[in-house]
Amino acid sequence: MKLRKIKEILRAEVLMGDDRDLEVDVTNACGADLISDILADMKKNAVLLTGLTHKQIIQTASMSEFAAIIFVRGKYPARDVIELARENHLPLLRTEYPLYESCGLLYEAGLRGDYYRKKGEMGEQIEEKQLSGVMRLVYKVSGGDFNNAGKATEQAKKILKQLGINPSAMRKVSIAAYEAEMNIVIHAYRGKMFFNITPSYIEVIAEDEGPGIEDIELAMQEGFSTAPERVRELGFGAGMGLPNMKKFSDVFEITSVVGKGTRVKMLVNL
Amino acid sequence: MTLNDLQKELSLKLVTRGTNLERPVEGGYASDLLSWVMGHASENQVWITIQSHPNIVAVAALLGLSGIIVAEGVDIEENTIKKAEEENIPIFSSDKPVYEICGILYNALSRSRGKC
Repeated sequence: MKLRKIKEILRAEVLMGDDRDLEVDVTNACGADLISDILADMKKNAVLLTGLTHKQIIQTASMSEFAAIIFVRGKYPARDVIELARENHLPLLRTEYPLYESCGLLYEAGLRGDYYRKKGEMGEQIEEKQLSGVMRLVYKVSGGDFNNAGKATEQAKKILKQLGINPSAMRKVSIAAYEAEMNIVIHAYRGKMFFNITPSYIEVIAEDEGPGIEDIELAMQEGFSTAPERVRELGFGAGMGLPNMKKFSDVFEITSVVGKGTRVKMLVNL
Repeated sequence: MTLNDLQKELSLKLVTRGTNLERPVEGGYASDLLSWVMGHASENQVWITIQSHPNIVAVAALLGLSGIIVAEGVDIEENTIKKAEEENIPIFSSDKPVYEICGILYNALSRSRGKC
């Protein structure tokens, strides 16, 4: 659907953008007022419907590569916000409709999302919250699912990249989190990965329901592994998982209860 | 040296479509243990392995490796190729054994460094 059509449906006013900008093809939309939700949005060729009109929304939308922003509920951004959008070549529209009706009208007109189709592909992100300066990402990880193994870490890394986290910290978090995620896939029944992103550090917590670890000290030794043969054939289970997690995090804590599960907490300073 | 140069130098067969071959190659890393690669390989290295399941793409993407060479003529799973195209990680196939690929790559990289 062309941006021009969206403008007509929402009876919107163009605040920034020319005739050519209105020819852009839009295939999806995101309605949100939480910056962290918007940052985490991975849709392509989408418009952002929001009631936020501050400068950060322009930066956020540009980073997440939205095709345009539509301000809902008749909100007007300040002049410097429009200027910033111009610098970023990000078209801005404004509609009197509230968020609910804007979404409904576009959906009805055929601009459908692809949530269920994508959900399978992208790994499941089940929760995301923004507490004062802390962003929390939560992903479910399924034991034995080697096809989706690593997806939680990949998703989290994309968000860290968008947030502009320095490459060396990003690398450490990626390696530590990937190993923890793989351990859930290899050894546990199911688990969750939490990424708590703060201005001074990133905390990764991997919690699982699984067999637990009998002798943690032994498990921490390089080369020690209890992974089954079929897993080792894939190149996993070399006994480097836990040592890597420890090596690449600034604080490393592990607790485990045999027959219940394991919890690993890793902290990387920024 | 770029992946393009590398492909010519080693007569590699590119199996992914639309992936970036202009990426620089600053070194190589050879191992079939994923955690070992995770802990030791560095950005802009090319990874030589006989593993060909989709998880190799996750490792390469997370580490920022420039590409993967699957050696010894091992068949590469369709899922691996699809995922690599999504993540923009070029995968090459070669009939040569790991040892030979490493040797040729090592010499080619030393030569290209000598030039600069």
